[in-house]
Amino acid sequence: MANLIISNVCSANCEFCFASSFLKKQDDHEKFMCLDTFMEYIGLLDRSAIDEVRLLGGEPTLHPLFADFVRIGQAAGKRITVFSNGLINEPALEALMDCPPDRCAVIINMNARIKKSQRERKAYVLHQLGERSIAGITVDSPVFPLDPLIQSILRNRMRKVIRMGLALPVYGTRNHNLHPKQYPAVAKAIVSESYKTAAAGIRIEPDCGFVRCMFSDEEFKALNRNGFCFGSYCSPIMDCCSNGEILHCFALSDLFSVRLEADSETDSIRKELTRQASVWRFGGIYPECEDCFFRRNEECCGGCLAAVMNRFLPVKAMSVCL
Amino acid sequence: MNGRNYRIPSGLFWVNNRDSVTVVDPARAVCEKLADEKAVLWRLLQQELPRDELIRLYAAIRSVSETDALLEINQTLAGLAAAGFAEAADG
Amino acid sequence: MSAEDIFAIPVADRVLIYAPLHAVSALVNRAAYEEFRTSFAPGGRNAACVVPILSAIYGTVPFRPEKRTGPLKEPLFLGILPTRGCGMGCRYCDFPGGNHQVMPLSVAKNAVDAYLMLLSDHSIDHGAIHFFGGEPFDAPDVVQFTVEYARLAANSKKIDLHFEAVTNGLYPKSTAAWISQNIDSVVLSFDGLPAAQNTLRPYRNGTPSFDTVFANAVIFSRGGCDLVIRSCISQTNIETLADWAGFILENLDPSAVCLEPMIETPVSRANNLSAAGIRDFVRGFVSAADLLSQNAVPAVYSTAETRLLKTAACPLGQDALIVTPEGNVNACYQVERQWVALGLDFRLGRVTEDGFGIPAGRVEEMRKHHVDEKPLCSNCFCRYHCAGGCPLVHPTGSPAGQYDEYCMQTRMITAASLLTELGQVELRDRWLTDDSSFAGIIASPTDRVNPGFNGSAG
Repeated sequence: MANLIISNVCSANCEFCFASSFLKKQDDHEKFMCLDTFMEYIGLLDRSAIDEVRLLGGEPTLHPLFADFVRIGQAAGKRITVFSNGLINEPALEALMDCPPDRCAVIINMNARIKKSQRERKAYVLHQLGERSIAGITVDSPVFPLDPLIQSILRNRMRKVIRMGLALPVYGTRNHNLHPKQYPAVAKAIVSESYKTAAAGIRIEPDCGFVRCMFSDEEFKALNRNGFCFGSYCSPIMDCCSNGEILHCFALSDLFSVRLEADSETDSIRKELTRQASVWRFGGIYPECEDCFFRRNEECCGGCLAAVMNRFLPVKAMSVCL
Repeated sequence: MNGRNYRIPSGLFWVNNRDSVTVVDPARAVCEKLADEKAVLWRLLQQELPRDELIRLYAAIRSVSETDALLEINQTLAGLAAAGFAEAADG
Repeated sequence: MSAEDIFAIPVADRVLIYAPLHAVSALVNRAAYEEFRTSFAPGGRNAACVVPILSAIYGTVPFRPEKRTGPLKEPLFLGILPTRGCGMGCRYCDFPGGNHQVMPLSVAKNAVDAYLMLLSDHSIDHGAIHFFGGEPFDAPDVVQFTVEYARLAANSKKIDLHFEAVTNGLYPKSTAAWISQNIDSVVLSFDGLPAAQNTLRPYRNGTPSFDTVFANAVIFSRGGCDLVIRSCISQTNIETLADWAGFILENLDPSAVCLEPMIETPVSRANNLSAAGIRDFVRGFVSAADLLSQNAVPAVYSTAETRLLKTAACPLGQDALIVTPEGNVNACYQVERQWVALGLDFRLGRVTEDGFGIPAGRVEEMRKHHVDEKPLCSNCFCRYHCAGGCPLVHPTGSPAGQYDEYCMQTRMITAASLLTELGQVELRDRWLTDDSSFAGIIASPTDRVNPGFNGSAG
């Protein structure tokens, strides 16, 4: 799995965005990934036997060559996955609609902060994409009723899945994110909402950063019954940037990265990014993670590494005169 | 009674876990887990207490004399120095 | 199955049925309530309209909080009072000023040793140490010593300790950073926006305190500790309570916000401070609770916490061992002269290096501060949440149902919370707006549906 960050600009303004601080640092002339770099990344995917192109941004569909990238990906025999805020322009939408539904998935951030005037366009896009679209939600508060989302999924015949992410921190910056202390309250809300999604035949797939202990055993059983496919992971996502840099993930963009080389493969890149991060990986987001049953049993990864690193304090340099 | 002098360098990070302290040196990509009295000493050091206050409090926490406390503190710092998380400052 | 302690409270043209031990509440009209009530009479029938409620009640095993009996073995917590001193000059606080003794480290050590020994002797693998004052961080080395020493000693006995501190937030950021790293739960007294905080809780010399306390609240909020904000509400800050709740939501991530009414004292009267009116407080509390719930932050009024069942209102009666700077062991953390003035004695004994010296019978004596021993509370629907409240401010010896203003406030907030949980916000607000509801809530001497009922029925 590797994400190609083809656009450094976005038409939404989400305060929980974990990409924006990194993308803002990119120079103007690198607003979009050039065709040559895109082809180099296609080469990386080919060498690594990956049959999926994942297009991200910013808002990837703003790229002037977005439709071309989709066609190139298809021609290379790859499934297309797009992460979008839903404000997709007509040429981009046409390119996606040209893809067979089973070879294309557009994950729409359903709680992206967009303007009132943009809502109509988003509703149109959702309706057009239908089964090509998957609802995504970033949970940035312990209160998040899913009723409107469920209605939208049913009304637009979207896939019956909700991809649920936690608003995670970006190390070294201050985006709006959930503090791990809020996770148990979030967990209660997830459980309560999961009854509604289950009744509508919709399953919830968690994104990275979830931890097992945020749910009580009773809540966990209820989630399993309600089609919440729990997973706890935090590993290199491999966000491939327009400047040839491959990041561990946006949340750790200032810390861990490698350069794309002509003979790079994703396995070796992942290994290198894992190695870079390994020294911080002994603990978790809570002081109790150190000696946690779930962590020892590998049921839990200890949470998002950026949240783990936020717990660290810089050591005060000092002389100790005894 | 006096002990040796040590320097704790900059560029390190530390975290207080349930039963221990972990110190990380990102430049060397190594970390050191300090448990029990070593964790106590680390937390006291990071508060930059004056020498006498450090020894008094450490001795009280460990229920030992201040002389024995100084010995223990020296030992822990020597261990940290051996692991590269402190430097002996007087040769 | 049995049905225990079922209550009914008239709310506007409806009746709120509440069975706290079964965790069942329901809102019915008056006619349905009559059917419900008669179903408990000898030979009474179960009308169709009330069957779901009866099923919910009879379908659950009632959970009754246990009364502590037998020898002292698992105190609610070990309380440590590092000093009675405090750098704040709260305009309503009647704690004595002046110089105060600081707890010698040897007393703290003895207290921790005795407490851990007690737990260990009874094979209990967890415990809690709470710091109160005055202001505990006016003696930071006592707190630090106690935490570090207790952590080491507990580790060797495989006991997991939880640390909590009640604090005014008035210290350097470095102290706040230490607290956020080493104390699990921080209860921060913080009375509101700058105008309120600086008026009600200035430094002892009158200097405004808001900026310091807020900066430290941010440290607690972003750090690893659990933050509870506790605001004392008087006429001075009741008007801005909603703004304060909004400010908290915007800037801090507390796990709860406690809103407690200021009790007038000679000090508050000397400073021309008045308690908030009951109606204002209840309405203000409910509005603030609604606001805070937008981010899942519970607003807490300590005698109306419907999510908790309790039979003692405070540490008193729950075997808490609270050690004063002088080494006395008390069951209450208030200053001794407050109970003495009321003819009460909450002294348990002393702690020495030989352990807790508590004369026989003292623990049992404290356990009498139990809701079952409070006549006033015997027929009240709030009895398992309020448990009669603080004995220093709320006498409960009067006959059942002779409710006072303290009861009125608790009963209104409890009923309003139950209505909120039932999604009856519109009815709740209509009921709260009607002044006659306040007199009405204390009009009936009993809330029991099934007076004297003690076994199975239906």
